Amino acid sequence: MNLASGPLRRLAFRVARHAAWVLQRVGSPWAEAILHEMHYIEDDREALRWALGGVLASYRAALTAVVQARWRVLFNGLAAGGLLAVLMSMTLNGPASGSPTTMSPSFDEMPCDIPNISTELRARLQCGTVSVPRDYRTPARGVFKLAVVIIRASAKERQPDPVLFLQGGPGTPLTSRAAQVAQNESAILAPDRDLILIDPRGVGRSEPALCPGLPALQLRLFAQDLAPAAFAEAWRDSERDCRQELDQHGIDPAWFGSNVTVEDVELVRRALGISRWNVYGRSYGTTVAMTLMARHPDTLRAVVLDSVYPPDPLPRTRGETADAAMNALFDACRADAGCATAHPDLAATYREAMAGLGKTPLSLPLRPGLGLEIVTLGPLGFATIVERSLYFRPLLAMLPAMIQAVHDRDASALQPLIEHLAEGFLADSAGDQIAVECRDRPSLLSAANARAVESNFGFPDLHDEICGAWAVPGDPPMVTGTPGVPSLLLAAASIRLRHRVSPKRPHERSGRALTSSNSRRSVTTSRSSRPVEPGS
Amino acid sequence: MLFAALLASPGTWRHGYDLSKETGLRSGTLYPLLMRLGEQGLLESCWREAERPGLPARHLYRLTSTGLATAREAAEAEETAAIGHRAGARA
Repeated sequence: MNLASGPLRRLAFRVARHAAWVLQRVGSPWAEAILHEMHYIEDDREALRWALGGVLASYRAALTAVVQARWRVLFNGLAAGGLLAVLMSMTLNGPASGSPTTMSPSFDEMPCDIPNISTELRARLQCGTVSVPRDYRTPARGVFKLAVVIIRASAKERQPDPVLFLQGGPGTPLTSRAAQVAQNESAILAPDRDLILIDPRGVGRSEPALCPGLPALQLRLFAQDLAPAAFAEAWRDSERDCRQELDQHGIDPAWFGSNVTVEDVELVRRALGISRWNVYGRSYGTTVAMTLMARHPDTLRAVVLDSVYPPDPLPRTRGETADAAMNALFDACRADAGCATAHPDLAATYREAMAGLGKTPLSLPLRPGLGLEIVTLGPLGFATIVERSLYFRPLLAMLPAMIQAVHDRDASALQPLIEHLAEGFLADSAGDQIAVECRDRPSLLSAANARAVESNFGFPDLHDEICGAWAVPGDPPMVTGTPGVPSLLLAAASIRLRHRVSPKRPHERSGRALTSSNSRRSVTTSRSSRPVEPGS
Repeated sequence: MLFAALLASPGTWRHGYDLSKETGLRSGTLYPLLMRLGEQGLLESCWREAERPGLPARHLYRLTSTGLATAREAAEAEETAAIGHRAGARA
């Protein structure tokens, strides 16, 4: 504004640059903030005062970097209170405060088109949609219809508070799997409670379709045995194209994230006329569940957190836990007489199998309908198959034999496993996964962790890079628990080895958070319901 | 949620200088506070390109949800003490 001017301003800039220099020495990102801001101060004296304050701030920051003073001290200051009040008032009174409470949502019932349902189940199934605002801040921008399926209680006497199942993901559809849920999820189904399934926005049968071609495209990348660099490049391109596709369809990436999902869930509750419900969150669903606990505690009777998704905004555990899960598989094989006899050193067999694929990939055909006729299986594809299989108990038992088969260069044994995983991969909304993760945790990986991922899977994790170009970050999910909502934490309850091993530390952190916030940890079902058993 | 307002209402992001004027805090007090709030995950910040050429990008701030909750608690506590009842909840 006032760049070419008198001695006062020149002095101010010299002072501000000094402040920036001090701040940079302590690694603070704020140096430029103060310096740049000065360009916008019209008055020279004012600018000088600003710069001098900047020096003061920089010295304090330098001091703080040494002393690590406790933050509460600052909060006790009146100054902090005043600042918070200003920030808060502007947030609360923002011009676009379209609050969801002003809407009265409804459940629009329609015939169920759920695959593989029995006659018995069909009689208990209710399907429909609930419309939610695309943009909660500007409801005039229209709505998304969310798919909702209710599996009615099988008992005659029904409790008034149903169970909401929040699945893993993000991006994993649920309503289309109602039959599998009804058949397999005995821990979640209570005979005297309705079970509610929702496809979150952008997932499964809910609107909007987020890059519907992306899963098939990415599946083909896995099936090509690309070199790591080429794979990363193609992956990056696919997600960049997806981002452009959103623009073309007028979809704002800021409309996604766990905090938005929670508001959607809340609208579904109101549409269904439920006053309080029980929430069963699994894996990523625990993030949504905990955010729900923080935002809408009064709507919750009880919460089960099964296989807690790493709650940290910056988890550093991903590479670590992938390794730990592999080691647990090797240990489990060693401890099992049959497995140990058949595969005396499964870890070595795996390494050799990977090395063999590195030299010469294996080729195998797939059944029609998956958009892939031939898979060229290289180390990256195989590592991915193994990693994905670690999530599912039925697949776990197959893994040693699969590793042996690849080691022995016999790919045919892998065909059913690959087909099964491909089906799941194609059903997941890859676009939603990016959309949610990039809003929730745009900087997922430390450099060190990215290296760990690379050493494990042979290609760099592109999360942070992709998110950098995806959207402005959203509010982080609220995962510290809330007092007053009875919650049961299942750390080792998952059917999946990957989760049984991996969330140990996340679970401990959540446990601490829940305990420290005085939340009770108790069994959640009533006497008439089937008890929830850890380990089921 | 709050971020959705970003595009629709750019005013929700605040400049350091504006905050300074509004709170009466000098930069030497304001920035350490902002830094600390940021470190605690209560405040988020971003850079925005200048509206006019020749000027540098500006650093903008606003509360995260955690920060909002903290701020609300503080305000409610104050209000409870002052007028004897809690502020209404916002969805």
